[in-house]
Amino acid sequence: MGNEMSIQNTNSKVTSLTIDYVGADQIVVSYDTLPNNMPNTRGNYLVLWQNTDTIPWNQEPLKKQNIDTNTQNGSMTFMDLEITSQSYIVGYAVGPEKASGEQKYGAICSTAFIPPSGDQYQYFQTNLTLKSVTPNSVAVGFQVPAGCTPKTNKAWLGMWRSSQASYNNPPDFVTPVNIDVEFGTAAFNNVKILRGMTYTIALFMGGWKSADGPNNQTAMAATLTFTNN
Amino acid sequence: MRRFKNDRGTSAQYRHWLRLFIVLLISLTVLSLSQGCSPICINSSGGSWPMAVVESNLQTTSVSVVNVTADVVTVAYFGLPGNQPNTYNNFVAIWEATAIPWQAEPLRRITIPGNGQMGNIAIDEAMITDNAYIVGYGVGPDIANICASAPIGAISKELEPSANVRIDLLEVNPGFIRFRYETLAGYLPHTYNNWIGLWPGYVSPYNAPQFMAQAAIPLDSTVGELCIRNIKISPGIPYTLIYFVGTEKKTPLRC
Repeated sequence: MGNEMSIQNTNSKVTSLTIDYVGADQIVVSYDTLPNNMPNTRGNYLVLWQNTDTIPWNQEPLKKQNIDTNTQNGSMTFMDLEITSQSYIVGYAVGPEKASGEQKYGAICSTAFIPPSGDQYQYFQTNLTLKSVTPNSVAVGFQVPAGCTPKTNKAWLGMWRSSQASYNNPPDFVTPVNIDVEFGTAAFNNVKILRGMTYTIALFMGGWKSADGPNNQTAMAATLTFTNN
Repeated sequence: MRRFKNDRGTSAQYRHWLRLFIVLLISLTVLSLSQGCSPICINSSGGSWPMAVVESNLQTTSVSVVNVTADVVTVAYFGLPGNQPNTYNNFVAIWEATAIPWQAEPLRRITIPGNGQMGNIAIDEAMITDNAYIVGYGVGPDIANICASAPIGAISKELEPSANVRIDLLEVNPGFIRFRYETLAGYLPHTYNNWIGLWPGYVSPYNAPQFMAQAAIPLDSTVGELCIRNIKISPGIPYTLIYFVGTEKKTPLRC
């Protein structure tokens, strides 16, 4: 298949959510975000709806709670609830509520579904997979929560010649997510993948401005690191 | 009839022309000289003509499909020595077809962003279904400048062999040469002003001196045999034959 390159040591990281406890009036949730995230500073929040297993992207939730610490992982309790035998869904957002024109809760990248009974919670994490690496292009698959419209929400991808993505250093290469699908492929062109070097790609749930940047690189949801051997 | 020996490889002499490229660019007609697609070097050697052995070295423009997903088709391209794909408006385009529909707008077309002779590009927003597709590589700005293609098979998405414009040397004599050309399926080499030129020495299509002979492809056949007559081919001298996929009209050529 042409000149696809030999890739080793692929390593992906995601933002994840775990349901620790569901009671009559509270739900306890743990979250584990990406390295170096500062959830409070970057407007991260947790949100709860009574719904089926998808996020109602523009509806008002039962509860929304900002993360009030800056530790990369932690836990939080939704209090004062009246949990019935209905199903619920919890979302973790890596950035604040979005402006009109975008999905209001479009920064949600990780979800946990609470079924009407039992503790068979179902989890989803936004993730990246490597589809193709050549010397001048990289195609990367992405998966965001069902119903999410990443193009509308100005989602984008950055790539660094590094083993880690950065919230501060501008990426070496950028590309927007230019389709409104929850499962698709985006591509970097006109790149140079150097011999033996390690690269990391990050997906941001919003903040795209232009190829010349600067793009807002706070809402990082998932990363993928690979080494070109 | 002479005997021919074909082998691939890049001549070191091209490096010299690459250095001259920028200096001489202004004096050249970029449209006509930037679209070389398939040069073949003829190097006659040996003593008397009846015993001569002709060595030829064919270089072509090629494109291949590296990876296919629903949204992105990654392709690799390999151009002629000295090609500057971005400067010369080289592009890739994709159609939902098994052969290039020359009159139809492509689903997606992307100009090559870099100037490397070989490289890769990911065609995004391609929207690939289980149907068959074909990718074309153009060495100039027009669809008619496409000289290499790579199909994507239907359903299974098995990648089929690529195709490209090529020329093959059939016969070399002191006063003429005979060769065969082959273009992509459905292509109209006469209508699209294809022509062929012959130069003494190892010539770069992007930095060529005055040719010793040239002629237009006289027919709209995708395959043909042609001769260049009234020339003097000397033993021991290399020659370069270059096929161009578009330029101004040249004198029709017939065997």
